[in-house]
Amino acid sequence: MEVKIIRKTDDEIEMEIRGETHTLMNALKAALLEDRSVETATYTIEFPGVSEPVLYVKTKKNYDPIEAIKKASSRLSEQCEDFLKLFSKKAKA
Amino acid sequence: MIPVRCFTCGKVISEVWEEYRSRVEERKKNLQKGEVLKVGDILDDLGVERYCCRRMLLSHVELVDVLAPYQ
Amino acid sequence: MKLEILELKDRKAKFVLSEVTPAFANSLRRAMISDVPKMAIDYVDIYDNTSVLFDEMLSLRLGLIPLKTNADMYRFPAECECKGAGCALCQVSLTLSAEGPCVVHSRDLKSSDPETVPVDQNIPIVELKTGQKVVLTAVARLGNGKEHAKFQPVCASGYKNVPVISIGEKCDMCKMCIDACPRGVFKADKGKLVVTDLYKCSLCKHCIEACDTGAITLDTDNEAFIFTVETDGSYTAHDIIDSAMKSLKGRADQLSEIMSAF
Repeated sequence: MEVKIIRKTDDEIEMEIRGETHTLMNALKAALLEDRSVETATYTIEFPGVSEPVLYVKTKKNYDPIEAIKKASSRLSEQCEDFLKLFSKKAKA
Repeated sequence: MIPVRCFTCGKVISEVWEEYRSRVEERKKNLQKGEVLKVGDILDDLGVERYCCRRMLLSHVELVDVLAPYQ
Repeated sequence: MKLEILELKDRKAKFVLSEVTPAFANSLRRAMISDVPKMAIDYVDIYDNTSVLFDEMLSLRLGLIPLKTNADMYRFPAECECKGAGCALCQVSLTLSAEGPCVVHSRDLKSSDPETVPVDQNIPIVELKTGQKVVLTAVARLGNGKEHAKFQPVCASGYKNVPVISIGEKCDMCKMCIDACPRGVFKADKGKLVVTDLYKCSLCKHCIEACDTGAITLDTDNEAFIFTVETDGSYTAHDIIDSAMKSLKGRADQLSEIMSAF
């Protein structure tokens, strides 16, 4: 995974996440939208199979969008961890 | 030759092909006059559940013997 | 997040995952299909082939044979020390030599690694007549489902929403819905209509059509998913679910690490 920032202002960010697909992007978008300080979060893959996904995030006042993405991805990671724990517990039973 | 996997779902159906064929042949031999050949229960028994996989076995025609003389 | 395992066999798993976003459920499904690496035959050296099948067809058939995979043992050729040239760390060779009359099966493939062998023994590869011969060496390597369907460890895997069937007070116990339902979801119990097995419902709405009083309503729970995972035997269903989720977690961790660096 490689990240390239295309455009960044105080409350907006547009960045390319190279080597990723809908698998991560869609889950990440959903995690970003759970954050109430995030105004919009979306991503696009211009042409399937060729283009890299571009993530766009706009936050509400005084909130760094990079911080929002960081928090969202760790929230997603925690959710995965929850699933793994739950799954191994239930699979043993 | 029977395709290795189901075209639609990718399940390996060729694993049961030989058993399926021999069981159908067996049933054909014991068929009463006017009786219709039914193989649904054989497919169920072999664990071929979905209709995409069932048609793979049901509709297969073995062509090896037809092609063999023309090498 | 809630998880209820309905079935967990070697080759098949069924579970209900609830209180998650549709995006999370879909990511799990996508990861299972394309992010779990699997061994499959990708390169074939044919020394002799006088069978009825063309070389290409024979190779395609070999590729589709599922191989038992131990992903910890192997690396992707691109990430290997040999830089894709092919070595014992990134590939396994399987040899096949047969002379007719016989039917060549997947069990006739002799692998250089006793752990990486065909899962199913009875897959017919080609039928040989008298005098026909097949001699070949096949090279198997690790790959992703993104690349080719033969690298997919699962078949027919997916999810559907958990149905929500509600029976209103208008129900006059005509029992039409019991006969109409192809999955046998309804049952009459002590003069009342009850739902026996909710997860069996296929959302076909035959019951709503059959109901004259309009007592039955059908909806879906958008935060609960019934997952079905069927493997081709290269892994157990348990391992696929586990490593798919680990791969998603790995990506999320990687991203949060990169974002911390800014």
